[in-house]
Amino acid sequence: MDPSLKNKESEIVKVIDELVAAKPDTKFDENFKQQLRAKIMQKISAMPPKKISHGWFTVPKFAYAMGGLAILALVILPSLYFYGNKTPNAALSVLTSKSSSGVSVTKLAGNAFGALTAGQSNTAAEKTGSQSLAATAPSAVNTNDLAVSYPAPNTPSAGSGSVVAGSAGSGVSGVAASPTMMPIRATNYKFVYKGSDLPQLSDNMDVLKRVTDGGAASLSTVMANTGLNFIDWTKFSNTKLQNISFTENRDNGYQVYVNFDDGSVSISQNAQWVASGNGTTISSCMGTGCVPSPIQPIKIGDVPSDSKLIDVANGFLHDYGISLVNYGQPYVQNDWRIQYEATTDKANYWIPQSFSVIYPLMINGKEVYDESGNKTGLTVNVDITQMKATGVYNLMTQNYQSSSYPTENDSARIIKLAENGGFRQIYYWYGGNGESQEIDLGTPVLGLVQMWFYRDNQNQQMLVPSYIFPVTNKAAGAYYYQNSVVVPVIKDVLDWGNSSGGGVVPMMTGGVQAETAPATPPAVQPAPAVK
Amino acid sequence: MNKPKNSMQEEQKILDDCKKGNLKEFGALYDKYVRKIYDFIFFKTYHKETAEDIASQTFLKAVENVKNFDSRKGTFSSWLYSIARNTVIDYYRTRKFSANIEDFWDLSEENTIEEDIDRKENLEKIKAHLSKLTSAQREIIIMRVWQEMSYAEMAEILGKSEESCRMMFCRTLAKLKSEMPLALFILLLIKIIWI
Repeated sequence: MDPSLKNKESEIVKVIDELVAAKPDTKFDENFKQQLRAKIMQKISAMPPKKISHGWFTVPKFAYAMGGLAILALVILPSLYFYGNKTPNAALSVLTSKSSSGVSVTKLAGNAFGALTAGQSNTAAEKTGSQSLAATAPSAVNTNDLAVSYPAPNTPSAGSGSVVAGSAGSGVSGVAASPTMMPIRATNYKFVYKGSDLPQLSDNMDVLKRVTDGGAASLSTVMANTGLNFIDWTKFSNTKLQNISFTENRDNGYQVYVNFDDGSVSISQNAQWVASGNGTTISSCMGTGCVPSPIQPIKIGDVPSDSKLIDVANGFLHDYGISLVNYGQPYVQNDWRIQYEATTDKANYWIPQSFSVIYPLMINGKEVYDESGNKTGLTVNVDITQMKATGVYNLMTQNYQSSSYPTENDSARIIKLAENGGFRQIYYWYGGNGESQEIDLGTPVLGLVQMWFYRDNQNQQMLVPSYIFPVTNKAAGAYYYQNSVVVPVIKDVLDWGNSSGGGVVPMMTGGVQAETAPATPPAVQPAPAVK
Repeated sequence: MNKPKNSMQEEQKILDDCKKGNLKEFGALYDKYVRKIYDFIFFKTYHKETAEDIASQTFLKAVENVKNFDSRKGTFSSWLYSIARNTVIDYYRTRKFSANIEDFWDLSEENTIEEDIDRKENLEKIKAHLSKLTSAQREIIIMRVWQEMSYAEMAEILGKSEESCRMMFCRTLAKLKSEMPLALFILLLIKIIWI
């Protein structure tokens, strides 16, 4: 305090107290924060790469970014060296030469993929089943292909933890029940849009289809390097290399599975070598039921902060040269906390040992989401007892074709569908038997939603432009997981997902009605002002 | 309260990465400062949407120019706040107001923007007193009392010494106290809080 004001100190303190009490609410909006963040990341993605100088020549820095298939080179080439081949064989060099270290998008003519939803089933069971279809997408590990006999790595399912696949029959979607959980209440969730007017979209927007090069390779050429010459490999024709796997022969090592069919790499902790040397033997299976040594239950105080988990994940990716140039800000999946908070006996609640850090994929400046509205992309599992990365998934090539398709510009229809629960209505409507809960939806952002369509006898992964409506006030209490509501803006997909007679479209008394085809085309509306 | 040393080191590492072209690291700086910058701008505009708009411009300018940021000339924090302050001034100038408008309080009755309706009535009650302060005095009060900044932080941002900031703060408080009977001040503030 200035000496000249010392005699008025008590009064000055009162003025300060009143000023503090009068501090206005700045109305800081988390939604705004996230949207601006996405905008900044988009701007960064659109910036030209910084050129780095090597003296007499400069190269774009992106040329040095390690993409998904660069790790294949790290994986494949050392194994070839082990078998005495000093140069990469021609077949495998073909594989790597087609890879890209970043995202590549090849533009095709409009409607190049045909009717996107032609031949797709539209029943409720199959719609919700499409989420489990996504969980068994080609990027998941096929245990039959593993070279060693231990359980498949724990691959996270689409939107793992946040939505239970096939849970359309329950408005109390959750995970395995604990005897100490709060009683389940039937709740009708009514979505209410409280955001700004939607901007006018262009008449067409690009749908992306992921393409893979496959593993075309001469078997005889590949096997010639292995030393396994007791069979004439040339007798096999039109072969392609589908996958390889290997393990590190050391404590706390990793096993790696490389899938050439879909250009993906999965890494997981080698379960056979979890611990040794101190007399404690860990069996090959995981979990408290199999491990001889007692595992201490995790207490809530043991759970590290999200930033520490992200640091561990970042460290692993950095150490193994996995580039994050195509990914946005990582986040930790914490949906278990929803159930934890609802549990009455928190002391005995089973807190997970492994946490997923998710790096949302970004394509053309847009973040990629799953159908439940969760950002999706590269996933790193961190074991909090070891503070170590124990798995990496969804590390894959990002090669796409794009083709433009007509968009839906009827804002009223889009908002109505959002208020009806969006593309995948997750929660069941109990009608008069349930208590009601309003869920507010904020101004949406445009993202790309990962969808799977079964066409030409294979699952095709598409990225469909969609509005992602954020939930701005999560329902208090148990079992509400949904962070956002997805509404595709591509008419083909939107019309299929909401055609009359199909899907879990609740008839809400006094609220949103199931959509039926309009009798007349909607009137053209002037572009609403963007607030 | 000074920033912990390891926090400054982490911030410097992020800035070094950004300058090398790894702009994705800017996200960490954004997360650290977005709330502070937004509040800083809000206390100059008293309008949510305007504050969001100006905060957006601030960070977009920052990310465009972070590669040119020179830590020898000042901290990142002070650089970011100066961008925010200048963007607020530009905001008022582009609306053809007087060049001396630095914040909402400098607006005369004739220059009132329609968005001010939000708290116009409430702010009228306190405006008569805070408007008598200079923009520098208002800034000091708001940064110290509402944004809880240390004198060291304020000095960095305002380009003054810590002692200078401390003295200005004390004298501004004394001025506020002398120009408004405390009972009336409390009454006015109570009305603002409950409206």
